[in-house]
Amino acid sequence: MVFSSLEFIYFFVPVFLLLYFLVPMGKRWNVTAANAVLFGGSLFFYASGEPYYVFLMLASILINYYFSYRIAGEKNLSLVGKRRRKRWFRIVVAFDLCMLFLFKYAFFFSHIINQLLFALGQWAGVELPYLPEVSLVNPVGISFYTFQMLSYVVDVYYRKYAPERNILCMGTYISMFPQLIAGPIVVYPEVREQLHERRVKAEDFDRGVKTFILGLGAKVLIANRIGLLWTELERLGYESISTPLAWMGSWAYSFQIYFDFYGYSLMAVGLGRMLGFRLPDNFRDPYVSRSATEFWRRWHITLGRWFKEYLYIPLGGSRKGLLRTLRNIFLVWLFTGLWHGADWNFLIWGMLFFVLLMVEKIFLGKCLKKLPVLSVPYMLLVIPLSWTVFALSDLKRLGIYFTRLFPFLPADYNSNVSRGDWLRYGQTYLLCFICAILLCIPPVKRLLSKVMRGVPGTILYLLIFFGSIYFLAQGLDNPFLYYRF
Amino acid sequence: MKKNLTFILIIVISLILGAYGFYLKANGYREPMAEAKEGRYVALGLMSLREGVFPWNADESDEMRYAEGMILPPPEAYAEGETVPAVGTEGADREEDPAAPSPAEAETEEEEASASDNSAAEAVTEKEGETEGTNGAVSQNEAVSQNEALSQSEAESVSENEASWPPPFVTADESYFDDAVFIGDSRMVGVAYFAGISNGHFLAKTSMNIFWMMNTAPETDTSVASVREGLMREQYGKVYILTGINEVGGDTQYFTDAYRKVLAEIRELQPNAVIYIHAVTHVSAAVSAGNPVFDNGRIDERNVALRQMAEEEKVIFIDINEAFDDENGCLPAENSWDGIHPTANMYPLWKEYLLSHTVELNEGF
Repeated sequence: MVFSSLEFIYFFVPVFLLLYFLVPMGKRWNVTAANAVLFGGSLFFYASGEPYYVFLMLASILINYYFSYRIAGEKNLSLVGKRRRKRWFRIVVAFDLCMLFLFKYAFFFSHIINQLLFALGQWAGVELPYLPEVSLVNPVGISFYTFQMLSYVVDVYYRKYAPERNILCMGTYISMFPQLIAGPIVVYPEVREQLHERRVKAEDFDRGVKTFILGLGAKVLIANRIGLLWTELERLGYESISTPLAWMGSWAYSFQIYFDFYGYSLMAVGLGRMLGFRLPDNFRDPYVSRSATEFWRRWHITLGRWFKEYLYIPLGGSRKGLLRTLRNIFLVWLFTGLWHGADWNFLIWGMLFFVLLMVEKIFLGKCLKKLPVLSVPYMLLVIPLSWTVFALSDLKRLGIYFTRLFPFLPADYNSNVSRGDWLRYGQTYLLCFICAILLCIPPVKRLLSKVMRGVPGTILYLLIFFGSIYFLAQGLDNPFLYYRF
Repeated sequence: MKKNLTFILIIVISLILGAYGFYLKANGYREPMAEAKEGRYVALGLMSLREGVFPWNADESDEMRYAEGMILPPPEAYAEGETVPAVGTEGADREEDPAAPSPAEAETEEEEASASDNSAAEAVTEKEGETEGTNGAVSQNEAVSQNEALSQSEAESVSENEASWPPPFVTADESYFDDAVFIGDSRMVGVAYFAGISNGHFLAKTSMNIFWMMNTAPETDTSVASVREGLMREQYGKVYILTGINEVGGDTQYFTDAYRKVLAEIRELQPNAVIYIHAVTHVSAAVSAGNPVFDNGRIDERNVALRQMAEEEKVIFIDINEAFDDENGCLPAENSWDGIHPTANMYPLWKEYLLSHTVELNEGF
């Protein structure tokens, strides 16, 4: 179940809110009851999409709960106690990472190893045994909730805060449906207080509803619409698109991925607020960044924060000499790339940012800061090109796409470009592009947020909401006639 | 209460829309979105507006709306024989008018009626071609075997009987498209932009289908408001029609009847044109196996019916699948991203195929 579906909006949310607000807020046992409703609702939410993996998540929660409790409960402060703490800590971290690896990366890596074995076997002229290539379906949200659990056990191990005694609170923290499947990656202190005592004020609920509507609009009215251009290019075959159309396509994908993810994060924050939580913001106008470094401070903020807190700094950060710093940044970007998906293009994508950030750190960053003449075109290239790499898992097709973006590159395929194709598509998608561009500009957003107040604001919110519902309804398949082609 | 005006209004409006959708449903408005469970009435209430159904005319029956060209008649009702528009016979009647001057044609019709001793006509007729089994094993891909039967019969019919239908295919040069008009769905849009036919006129639109074809506003020619208008404006020598993939889900008889109706109207508007109708195009093996609607077996079934209809209606049936299929009768996956549309660089094949599959008809047809 995704937030932008009729099923979620007209079934899950009404039923859930009814149950949730049947529980009077404020007192201690009431919070427990509300948490129980939230936990149960979240499990239902997750199980409706992952009826089996919901048990995996539950097992993970239990194991993390138990071990973090053991880590913190170690009263023996001698060397033996320290060792024991460390052992518990290592076991649970290994467990979390193994789960993530098994479900998300096992296939990718076993495939690579088998290819290596095959090459080696051919070279040596012997038949080598192969690893079984387990191909498991990636459980929805495993990257997100595993990272939340890791942050939790690490913090408990380093005694940043005491572990949660109440398993219901722990379970609710991990599985809370607003942030379960696509973030933001919440750290425990951000919700701890609210898990133990919360009240939903009328203003907060209203704000939450409105934030949700904005997110829904971003996803349905902008991301889904502009994403159609990308689908059309796939249909034509990248061999046969003109260079201007290729650039339009890359930008369309850039806008799609931003408004999709941004919209989803907004919906999460809005839902959280409706339920009495303050979830962290995940985006801060990333497309007006002046450098790739700045871009990553504004894009998927909670992920960047996680890697900084739990990988970069523990490795020594930038305090242990240039070489170590380089290595640390390299590792961060290697894992950032892999976190987004188990495929070569994500590795390339991560490495691309590693190189860009390095170059910016060494010399380019200062120039970019001073010279908008340089930084604007620079980002106008970096954004669509990096997302194009991100979008295309098939390296062959990625290569073809790049020969369309840069027609001077050598190409060896059968191309059949229709003249003026970009004008045709440009006309069709002009409105989408204008809206998307405007909504990336902070002053425009500020102006809008001023307009969206009072009664006229309410009308606008209603229009966005029902406009989104309209497009969602339109996207439903007609069982008799597939009027799509 | 006042602070949560937005939320309250959403609930109220949703309830009103839902009630309205429910009212429409109760009044027999067909449900376009049977797959939606939750929020279906809200969706129904909203979507009805798109079809021109408003509260003030919501009590009109679907038949009236169908008459106004707003919606399709419900296939189930049609199957029960309730609202059968007698298009089949109507089409045949109309079709005779322009065809009347040709004595050769009348002959053909007679022959068909008594198609027992004419070997060419025998092989052409679908069912007989099948039962004869002259072309070896009846493979699962019926269309392919039928094509073979057809090409055999074509070869015979050239020598034996020139009047038989369909006439033999000949190859033409590019100027053949000078007075051709192409009508069709997204694949025809693809032909317009990628096949390299610069002299033809295209009235194509993504998601076009036979039921609404004449009323559809073409995207390849925005100077006309509908295909009908495009056909009224100019006289053509050839009309190419490509549709069928969007309609695969419905009933075959329902589909061909609608097709006949369209053909009859095109005949009236373009009395001198040869009409070519495309076979429904095959999808890739993956789509065929994975999608309950787009199934190549079903598509072949459609094509059998279309071929027969083409014979009866005296239009030329061209099976473009011959140009695109792999050995299993599927659209090769590497030539298509979605398993339904060929990629742009495949479309020149389309032109090649059309040029090598033209017919020469006698004057007056």
